[in-house]
Amino acid sequence: MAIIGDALRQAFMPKHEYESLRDEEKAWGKLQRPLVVTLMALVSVTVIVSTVISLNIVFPGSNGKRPFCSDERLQPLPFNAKGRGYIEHFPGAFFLTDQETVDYYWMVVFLPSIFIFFVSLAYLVAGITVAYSAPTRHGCLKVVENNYCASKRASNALLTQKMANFDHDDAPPNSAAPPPPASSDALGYDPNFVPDSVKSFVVHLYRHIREKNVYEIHQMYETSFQTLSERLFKDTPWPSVDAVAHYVDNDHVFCLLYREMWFRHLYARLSPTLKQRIDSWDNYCSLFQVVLHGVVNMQLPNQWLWDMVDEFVYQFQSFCQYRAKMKNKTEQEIALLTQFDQAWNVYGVLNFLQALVEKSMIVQILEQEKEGLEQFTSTDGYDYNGGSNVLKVLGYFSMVGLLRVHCLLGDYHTGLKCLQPIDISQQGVYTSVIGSHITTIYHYGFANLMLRRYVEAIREFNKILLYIYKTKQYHQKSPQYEQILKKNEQMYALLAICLSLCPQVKLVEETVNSQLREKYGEKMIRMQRYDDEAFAIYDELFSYACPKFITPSAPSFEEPLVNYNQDAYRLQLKLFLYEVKQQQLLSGVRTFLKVYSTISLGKLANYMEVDEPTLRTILMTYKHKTHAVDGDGKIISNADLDFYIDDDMIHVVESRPAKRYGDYFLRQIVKLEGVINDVDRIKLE
Amino acid sequence: MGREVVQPQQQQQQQTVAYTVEQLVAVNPYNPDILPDLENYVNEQVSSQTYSLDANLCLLRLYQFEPERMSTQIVARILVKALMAMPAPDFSLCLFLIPERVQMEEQFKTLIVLSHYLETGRFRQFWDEAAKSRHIVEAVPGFEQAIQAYAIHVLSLTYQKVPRPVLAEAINIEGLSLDKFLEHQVANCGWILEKGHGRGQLIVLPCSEFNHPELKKNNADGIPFDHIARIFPILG
Repeated sequence: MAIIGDALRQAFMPKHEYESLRDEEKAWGKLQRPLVVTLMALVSVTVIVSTVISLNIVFPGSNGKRPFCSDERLQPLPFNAKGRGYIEHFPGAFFLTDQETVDYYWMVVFLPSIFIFFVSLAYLVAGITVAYSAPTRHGCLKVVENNYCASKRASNALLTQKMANFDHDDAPPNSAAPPPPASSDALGYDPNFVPDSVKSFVVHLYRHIREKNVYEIHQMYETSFQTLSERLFKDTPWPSVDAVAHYVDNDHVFCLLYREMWFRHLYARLSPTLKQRIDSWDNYCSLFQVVLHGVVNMQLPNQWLWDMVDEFVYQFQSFCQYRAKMKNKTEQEIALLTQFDQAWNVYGVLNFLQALVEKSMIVQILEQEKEGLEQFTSTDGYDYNGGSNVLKVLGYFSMVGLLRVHCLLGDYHTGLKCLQPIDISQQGVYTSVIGSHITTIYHYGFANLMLRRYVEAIREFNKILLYIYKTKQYHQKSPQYEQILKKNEQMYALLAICLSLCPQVKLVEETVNSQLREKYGEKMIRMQRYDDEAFAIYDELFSYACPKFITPSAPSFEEPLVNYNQDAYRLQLKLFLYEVKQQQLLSGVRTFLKVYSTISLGKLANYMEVDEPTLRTILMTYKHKTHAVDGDGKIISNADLDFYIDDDMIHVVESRPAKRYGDYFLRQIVKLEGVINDVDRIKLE
Repeated sequence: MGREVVQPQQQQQQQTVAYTVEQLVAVNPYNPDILPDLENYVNEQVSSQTYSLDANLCLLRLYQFEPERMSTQIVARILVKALMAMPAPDFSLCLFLIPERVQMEEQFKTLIVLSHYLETGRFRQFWDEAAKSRHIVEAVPGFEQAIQAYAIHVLSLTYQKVPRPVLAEAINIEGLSLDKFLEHQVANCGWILEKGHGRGQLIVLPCSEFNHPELKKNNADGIPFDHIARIFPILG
């Protein structure tokens, strides 16, 4: 009913009046309901009473009765009333007959009422028609409806939204992008045409941002933006920022945010031109500069802030890949590249991220939070005291961004160092957005793999894969579902690599393990063999699952133009396979050691068909490769199977994961305390 | 990018030594202007026998951004220093940042081979190879000792008792100097010399959780103090 009413008003009112109406409704929304009910009741009672009275008048019970008079009327007709009784006192007055009364009533009250009634009915029918036909041809209405019912869907929406808009790291922006911009121009894309639905979208979004209504912003950003993109801008860009600016008071910051979304949409659905890439860089520069100078007083959803950082790094990566493909560059493009050599410059990118981290003081905030002096994680980074969350949360996500950039550059040590302020063994703001959660763990795990800290990588991959396995179903409708699945598959491949180099299967949960066997079981068996085929599989899995490495330096424009976009990837692959080769004899040793508790060096050398000094080197390699150095320089053992040599005898010790009873008891104690507290509270009430 | 501030800082540093290179790297890691300082710092590390992975990676990163400024001599020194940091994976960390065509140069090829021998525990071959390319490794003081320390590290992971010839081969010391070396280790590092059955000396290396795996289990059973501290209020 409310929707129909709303639709009616929308259909028949001037736009601005309707807008203001909605404002008021919001303000006394709570008061509205009882008032309306009372009003309706009053109107109904009046209508019924009036109807009864009217009917009584029109169809009097007996002809002799006068309405509202108790005494019978048996008087002569008042033709020549002169000189008769009290009538003389009112000159010009006359009596009505009953029939006259009825006629009079018909003409003056009843017929006009019926007329008005039918007009209203027609009005209502028209309104209902508008309401039901509108959503198909009028995007505006849908947006309004989403807004309106948002709070009711809160819990549902939050779950699905978490997954939504996930990083499109490997979305093939160039290859899959359908029509180049030129042809969409031909299809009639007019950057200055703003459909009503977009108008309404920006006006509402702008208002919600001003009012710091994070929930509504999130809804519009996640749902409405996607819906509108799907319906109106499937293969064209959104209207240009100049065209929408005057709907939002030409607000500078809002326009920057709009452009940021504009470019993101463009990158996702079309292939950006060089000019657009450069413009997008400029836009990020302006946006981050505004944020860094601390003049922003907004609250934006974490999802959006994450997407900003994520997209920033993605566009950087995409630019480097694009620039490295020098072979087919036109002269014009080369001229642009040399002219705007600062665009997506690696120093610029790193320094922006670093500046966000520093300026936001996020490292100190996280430090203070440990001492209980500050709240950040517990509020998911939001500020409930009227401040802005933008700088803080951007700074936070920038640490993840730095990790990712360093991984793309092949600098794993520094990448992990950038992430250090975030404790990834615990939940944090990074887990509040699924995209950030997956990106963080993927790069963290990959860096650890390259640093030979296999156990650490296995542990984290296991956790996130289990999490995705359990929550996958909630994200099925999300537009980013495919991206989630892709990263999921890549991490299974990385896990397969880790487990082949360091067979600590006990660290992996049963569900994850069975998924892994299903996907890579057969390949993992072949990887153990360390022949050429095995290396080919290592190569294949690594190439499939590695990040898109980049060469950060600008090309030289004088030499013959060659593509160098594969260089970085080839180097990392080569060094990785080198490492695998160094470990190729270890799985053989492992097989033998598994079946002995003690064995002499000579005997084992015999079995393995090598001489004794070689066996000693193999055993030392095993020890060296299974004992990694962690971040603090401490030696950590990755070995599932350990041994020591006493003169000529090898003593084998299979390390079983010690059951952590201590942790279990600690948790139970805390749980019990919680229950007791709850019980106490009940007693008080 | 608002990073120009550093230039004056650097000049200041040369006068007053207000900022060490380490601090520069920590505060301002993405600044091309600190490149000369970092190069000087590599030489300083070589002469003063110190080591800073972060500073060296930072320098390699700057080279990666601006390949035309790369100095292969400095890169070679960084790699030798990284070899000396074994068993940490610093050498491969550095290689990840050095373009393939640079790695094709003869001196780098040699260093990669050396690293390969160390990674696979082939100390005999390593010392032979190192002897052939003295000019590279002898430019860095402390090289031999560092590799010996690494060899001893791997031996202590592997052996409870190691035969004397195996040790001699790994650390490339023989005869009288080995006796001297052992004497020193017995006095300072808790090594014990034992008579082996007939074939000469056995050296008992100090025990750790790695050559006595049974020690590890006790460690794993422990509970960190701060975990207990967290439930103190409840227990009280």
